[in-house]
Amino acid sequence: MFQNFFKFMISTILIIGCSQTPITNRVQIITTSKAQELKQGKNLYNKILKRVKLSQNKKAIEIINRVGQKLLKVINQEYDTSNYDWQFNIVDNKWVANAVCFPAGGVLIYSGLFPYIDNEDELAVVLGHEIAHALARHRVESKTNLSLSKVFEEITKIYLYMDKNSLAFQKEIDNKKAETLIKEWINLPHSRKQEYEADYIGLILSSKAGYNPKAYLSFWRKFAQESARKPEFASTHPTPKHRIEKMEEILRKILLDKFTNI
Amino acid sequence: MRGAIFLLLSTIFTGCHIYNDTVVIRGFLFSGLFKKEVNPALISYEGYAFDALINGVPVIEINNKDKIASLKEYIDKTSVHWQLLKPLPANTPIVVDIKRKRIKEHDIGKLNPKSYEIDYHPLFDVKLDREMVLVKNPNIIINGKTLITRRYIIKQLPKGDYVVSLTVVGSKNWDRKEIFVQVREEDNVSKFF
Repeated sequence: MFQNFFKFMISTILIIGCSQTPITNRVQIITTSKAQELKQGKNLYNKILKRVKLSQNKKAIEIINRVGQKLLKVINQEYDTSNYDWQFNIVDNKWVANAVCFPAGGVLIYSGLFPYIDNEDELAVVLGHEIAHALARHRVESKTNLSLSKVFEEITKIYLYMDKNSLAFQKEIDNKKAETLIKEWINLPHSRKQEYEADYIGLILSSKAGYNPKAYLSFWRKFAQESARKPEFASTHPTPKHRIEKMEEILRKILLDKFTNI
Repeated sequence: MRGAIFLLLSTIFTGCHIYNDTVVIRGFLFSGLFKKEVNPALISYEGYAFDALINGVPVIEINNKDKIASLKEYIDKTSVHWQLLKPLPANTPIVVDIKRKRIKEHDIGKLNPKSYEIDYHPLFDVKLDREMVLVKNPNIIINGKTLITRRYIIKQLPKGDYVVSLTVVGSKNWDRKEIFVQVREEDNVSKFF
């Protein structure tokens, strides 16, 4: 009975939830449907747009849209993204050096990122990375991963509760330890894997759009100067140093392939 | 099959129970598990109280001990642990923005974004054009009146390297940053946006 139920659950998850990422072709388990994902993404993006102050810098808006459209042209040649509502907006906040992309294609760049960007190639790196997150459905994949890891977390907590001798406060500490354990062993490495994947997809997209792939290295070297405050295993993102190392390796391989093909 | 699974699970649980009772082993394992490995060559900057932007360019940490040591040779007053992300264009007005770090709220208190003091130390021989202004000092009161002091303001910097001392006064405490700033001719400064 148990075995059948277990097999049924596994096969259901695999049939309903399996999808593939573009370019890297990684198999991923996602329990949210595409339509639901896009609807949620659009709603969330519209909500966020109402809360933030958008920049009126016409020059920057024009540049970002130009680079974004170039990247979208490459994507639309190979993938159907007609359901997506691609938008590029700038948030006027000089204290935040970040960019985000919502599942339906809404991209936000914070003006605090501008000092780190020196040319269109570097901007293409940032936009390519963010678009890759939406294309590879990373947000909903993380959501599924989080639900599955909750199951492991509860099992760990049950085991820790079995210790009858430990005091109530010790149990609370154990609970927190279980949460941290699952977070640092399952959720965060998965999140870092997605970041590397977005880097790779972004690099391929920006290269195909005609931007210099080496801009990836120059952009992340600027970030690397102020990193290492937090150890990588406790972070959702890989350190810039590791990103550079990984991308140097990929660039070397891409360039080598290019020359051997000639 | 079912029996084997139960046997395996019970073995795991018994093993875990023994391990759980052995506090020493448990402490050792968890301490090993959560030990954060940080490169000893890097400097920790967790205690600073504010972030700053000079002409929109962020002030970032110098994560290179050799660079800190070489700057110490020029300025022996104090160590320089901060730098600007990129050079500033020469002879343009200096605009400083400061922001208190949220985690340091209880240490430094409220911060008036305009109440900061800035001092320039050129790392080369240059005479800076200074403008004298009279400033009220609300922290010092003599005979019920606020003290008025002279302050020299430098609005523009010529090409060269500087150490800028930025002092920020909060309602509870103050903090300071020594920042290495490079000023270059406008043509040599990349500005995309």
